[in-house]
Amino acid sequence: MRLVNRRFIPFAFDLSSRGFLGDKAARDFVTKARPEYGGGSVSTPKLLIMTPEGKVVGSISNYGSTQEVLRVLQESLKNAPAYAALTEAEKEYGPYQRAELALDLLQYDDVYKALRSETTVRAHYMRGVVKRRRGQWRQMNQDFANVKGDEFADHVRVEKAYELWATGKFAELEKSLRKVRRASTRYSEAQYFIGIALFHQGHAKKAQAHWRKTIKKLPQDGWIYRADWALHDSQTKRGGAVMMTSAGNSKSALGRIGYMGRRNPDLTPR
Amino acid sequence: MKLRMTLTVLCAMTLPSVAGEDEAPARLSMDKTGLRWIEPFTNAHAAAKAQKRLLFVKPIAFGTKPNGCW
Repeated sequence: MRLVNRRFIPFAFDLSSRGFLGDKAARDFVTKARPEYGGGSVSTPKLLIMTPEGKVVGSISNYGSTQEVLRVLQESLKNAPAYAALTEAEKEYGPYQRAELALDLLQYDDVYKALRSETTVRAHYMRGVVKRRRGQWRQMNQDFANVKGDEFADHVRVEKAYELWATGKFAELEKSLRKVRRASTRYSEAQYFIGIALFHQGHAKKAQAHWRKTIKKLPQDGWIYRADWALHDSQTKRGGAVMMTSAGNSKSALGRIGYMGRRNPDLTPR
Repeated sequence: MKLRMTLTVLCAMTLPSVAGEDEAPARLSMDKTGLRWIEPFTNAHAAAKAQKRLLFVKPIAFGTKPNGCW
């Protein structure tokens, strides 16, 4: 998401001009490049990466995985470098802002370059985040051992939890994440994974109760949506896509309806 | 303008599911996925040109309503 916000202009519209998100200018722009989207009956359209001149430089299945989305976004930027340049403001960034930008753009070597002279806890933390994303657990723990003090304590706890998650140490995962404080910006993420930890320990009902409580009590963000997804998915038979309708009890806990994507991969047995 | 709904469909990043029969769904708020949608297209297109950025366009092929879809 940060990659999209940094380097793309996100826009959505209904191909039908009668829909709430109908937009004739958008329809004309897109159907010029993709005439097949101009018919009366259109199968699920792909997400398109387009230049302002109307050239499609990338496309992603509506059912694509996160990895596929990221791959196509990165390839699109590589294939259209004129649209990937640093902004004037970014050119003036200091080391930490450059490192943040590089993290958002998934250019991890540039994080190290930006921070090469920095020895603060923040620098150690950011280097640890790169290693976490790369699955370099031993090196990650070395960096996080240098993150002293309270400022990044909850961040480090959540970052280190990914190793416990990846290695299937679900009881430890749950125990560690229960220490994340309510005021932390990582709190909803921690609650989501506590549910995941419960689920994989064989406590599906407890996991569902935890997600339900989390969804009800916390402000909505991407982790709450993911908890909503996990809650629904864990209550239905595996196989096929997750499809919600406005009928009966098939709305999500948040009241969402529509295509909800593939099955939540975090529920897959490990 | 933020999208007045959470269309999981918009990409594989948002998503969702089912309440137990004994409970009312929580109240759905504005899209909080974190994507900074720009609407309508004329604004998005102008921003892409001015900022020299690529458009990330999700066409939707079903009826959209103010509260979502269908």
